[in-house]
Amino acid sequence: MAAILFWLLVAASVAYIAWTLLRVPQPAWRRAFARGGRILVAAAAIFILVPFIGRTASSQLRPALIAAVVATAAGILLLPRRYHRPVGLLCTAIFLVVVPFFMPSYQNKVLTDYTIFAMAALSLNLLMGMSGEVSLGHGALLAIGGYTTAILVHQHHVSFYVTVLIAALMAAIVGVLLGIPATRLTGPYLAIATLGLAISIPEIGKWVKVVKWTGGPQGINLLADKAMPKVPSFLKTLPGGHKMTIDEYLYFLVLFAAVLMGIVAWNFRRSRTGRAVVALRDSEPAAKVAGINPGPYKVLIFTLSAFIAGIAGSFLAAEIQSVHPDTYSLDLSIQILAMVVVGGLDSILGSALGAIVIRWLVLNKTSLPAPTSLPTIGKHLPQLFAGFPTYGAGVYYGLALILVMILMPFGVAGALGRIANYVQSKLPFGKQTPAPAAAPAASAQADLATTASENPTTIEEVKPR
Amino acid sequence: MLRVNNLRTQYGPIVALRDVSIEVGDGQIVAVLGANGAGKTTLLRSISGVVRPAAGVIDYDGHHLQGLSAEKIVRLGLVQVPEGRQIFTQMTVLENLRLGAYTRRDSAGIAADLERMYSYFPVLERRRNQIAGTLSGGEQQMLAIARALMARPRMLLLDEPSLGLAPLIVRDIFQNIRAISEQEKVTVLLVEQDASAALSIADYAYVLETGRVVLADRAQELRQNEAVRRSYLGY
Amino acid sequence: MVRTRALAIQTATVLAVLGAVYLVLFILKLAGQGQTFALQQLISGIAIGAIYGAVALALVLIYRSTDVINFAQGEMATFCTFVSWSLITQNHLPFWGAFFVTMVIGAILGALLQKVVIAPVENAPVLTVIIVTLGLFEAFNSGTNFIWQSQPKSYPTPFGAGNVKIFSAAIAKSDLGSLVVILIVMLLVYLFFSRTRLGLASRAAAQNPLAARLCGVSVSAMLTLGWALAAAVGAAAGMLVANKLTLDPNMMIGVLLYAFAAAVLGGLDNPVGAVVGGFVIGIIQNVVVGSDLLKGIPDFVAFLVIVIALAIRPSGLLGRQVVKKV
Repeated sequence: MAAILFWLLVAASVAYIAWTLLRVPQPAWRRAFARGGRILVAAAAIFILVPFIGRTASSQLRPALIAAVVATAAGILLLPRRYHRPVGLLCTAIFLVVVPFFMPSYQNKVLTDYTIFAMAALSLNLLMGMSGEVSLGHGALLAIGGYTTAILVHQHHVSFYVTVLIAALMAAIVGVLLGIPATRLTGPYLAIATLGLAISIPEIGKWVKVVKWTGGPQGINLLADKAMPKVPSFLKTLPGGHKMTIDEYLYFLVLFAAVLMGIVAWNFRRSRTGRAVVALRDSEPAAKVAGINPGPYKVLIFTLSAFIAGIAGSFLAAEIQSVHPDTYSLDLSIQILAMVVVGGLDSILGSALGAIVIRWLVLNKTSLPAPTSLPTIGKHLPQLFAGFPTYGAGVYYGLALILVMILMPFGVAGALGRIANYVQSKLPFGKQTPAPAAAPAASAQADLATTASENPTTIEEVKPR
Repeated sequence: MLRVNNLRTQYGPIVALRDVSIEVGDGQIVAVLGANGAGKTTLLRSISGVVRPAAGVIDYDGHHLQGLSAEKIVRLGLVQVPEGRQIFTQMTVLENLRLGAYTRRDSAGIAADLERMYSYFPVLERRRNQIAGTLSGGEQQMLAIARALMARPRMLLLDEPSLGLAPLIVRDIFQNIRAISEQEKVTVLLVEQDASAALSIADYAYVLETGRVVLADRAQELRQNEAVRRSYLGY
Repeated sequence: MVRTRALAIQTATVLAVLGAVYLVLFILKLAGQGQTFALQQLISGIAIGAIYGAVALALVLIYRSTDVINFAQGEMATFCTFVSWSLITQNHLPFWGAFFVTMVIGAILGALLQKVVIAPVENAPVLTVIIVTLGLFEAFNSGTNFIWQSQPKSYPTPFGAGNVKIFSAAIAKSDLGSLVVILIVMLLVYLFFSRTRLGLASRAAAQNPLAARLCGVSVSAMLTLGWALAAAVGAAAGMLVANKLTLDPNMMIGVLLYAFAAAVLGGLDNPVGAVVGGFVIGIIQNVVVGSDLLKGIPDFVAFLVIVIALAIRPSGLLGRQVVKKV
């Protein structure tokens, strides 16, 4: 079954390439194909990935996941649009709080990992979604957060909780340093500069001159450190007799921090300052004319973004129980970028969804559908795809980045919103206007990411210079 | 030679041309007059394939132009001198002229045409290795026309050749256009805000207002027309 | 007349900039002890700098014609270099045969990518296209990794082992040979753009697409051509540097960074500037690697160069000022 679908996907890709090369001029065909392409990719994603998700989730988690999916679908179908957000949030909150107690320790760590990266993705989404700047530097910010915590805990025996705050502040300082020149740099130049930062971070971590602090190529090991968090005595035994494990405790700590940061981001987005930042993104000249001075706002958004990234980095160090220069490579920065893009720009939900999707890809890369597992191709080209299980994840999220930008620039969160709107419009509830809080996110994404395939006009105009 | 029937062109929801019909006979000079925003540039862009019309037929010597790409239309012998001249300001005059002849392969013919352009516009020969952006407005206009002529077109579309030019230069340019049209046997469709200059050389003229043809007559009739005189000729 | 004068000015600028940079580094005592050593660093810096300049040239070519920063340039080059490695070691092609075949393959790859992946997003905001090229980066990097595995492979050089003596400095034959070949490639690119009809059309399409279309130039074909050329140049650079850096999937990541530094120094829209910038970066990197203090962090130094250059002149030291129309 998977083989048939795989080959269907390959055939569809070939057809798409052939079509592009033949340059079908009719705009109607192009629109239809774009729409069809999206549906095809979505279908492929569902049919190929769902069995694998099923296989990788533990037996305890599977019923919970199925229940979650069914509940989401039911919610979209049965509830009027304006209840989607609050009900969804409530159900998600219950799910997130209850689930860890039914899972083995390993799955708890995975959940913690997802949550940490949701925070990291949120921090980058603040920057990219709200201000439209591309930054590859968030791996570096995570590194700063992680190393600050590691150094303080390991060498100075500062309590972990204090180090989280310090790490966030350190990262925020770097954010300010990034933000100040960023006001003068246009898009590609900022991306180039942050690319440089991302590539150099592992190097600095291994630099001979700072080994005293950074621990050099081996990094710093925090496994047995006294200052690391432990389950506080008043939480050791919960009602019902369950003994809370350190993994569960860490998970709840991270969850708390992530939710807090999510609320901060949400409030910021709706505040006057937040709207000023978005105005700058949409049209800098117009915003300037309205009296918004770009400089301070850009620095502010960089600082806030860096602050949250620092917290995420700190928790990441706690979760992995070490800091190591190679963890914070360029690959990590691109991963976080992929999370933001695939999840949906300028969307808090999108950050979380994107983080889950990409981290799931990375953590389960050895069981990803690889051509070697399909008998027809495996026999002919065994050497070609032998390394796929180890390295395949990168190909998938590279392709994901490309496909999302071409076919679905509003990301998964945006797609969910559109599906919800579409389904609602067909139901007897009547045409509901979407809740006002949802509209800015949807329209912002749509504004930010219109592509040629989205363009509804019938005119082909040469781009003026 | 060129027949435009019921053309409609829109930019998104904004309709720039509604139901426009125009005819240009072989060897004629036809002018399309109108104020800013009347749709004149859109008309030429639709004919040249820069913009795709929403409805209507553009018939050029039996070829249907609507839907064809701009590059193909140039190869059919229909060349436009765009609004604002649009010369390649960072290239030399000679390079600009060579680009005009891009669709041609006959190097002997191209060399001969180059000489002919120099004879029409001696200033271009003097400045042939100069960067085109350093030329004056009038010289740039001459360059733009010469570049278009290097393609050996059978029909020339001119979009506001008088734009930004001093009146004396405008008179020169227009006399050049008339002379070239006769000597090169090129049909000319000319779009202009400067009605008196355009009517001085045109055989036939249309008046466009907010995307519609409101008047169509021989040029000398239009020159006497009350409405035209008051709105476009100033007396 | 105008053209030769401009060329003379450009050459003089190149030499002046190189000399100035070297003088500064020498004064800062980073350029090492002894004249022989210093000269050796200078020349080998120029040799590797030519490679950076070539990749920077590819970046500038694409940026000038399509306004796109191709973050995947290095990975595409690595991929092509691996293809050539397979052609040499498994299909037993001679080096130069593989070299030319791979350049052609690279060109086709570049053209395909432009048509299938880049063209659909050409009207989208800058952010979108950057993300697409980053996606290509990731896909190529992982793809190269899984097809050929990550163990470094040794890559042959057609110039033989051993050194050559120039003014009492010992230069590796392979470095010198690579320098000559890459200079030839860049010269051919220059001649293409300045002397041929197609090159003229390509420049026209980059400068003023509307006017180019009205001259009968197919702008989209020119865009594809730009990507094809850039990919071929990148592939050439990869194949010439693989012997020195040893071939592995992450080979060009550092090179890409240095190429970006070079392009930023020279101005992203200035091909000559990119090449000059390449030489400058090559010298700086060579000095850094030899210096005691900065030895472990050449990438960070490149990052600092980028930051400083952008701080001084956001449009590049030799680039044109970016004037934004409101």
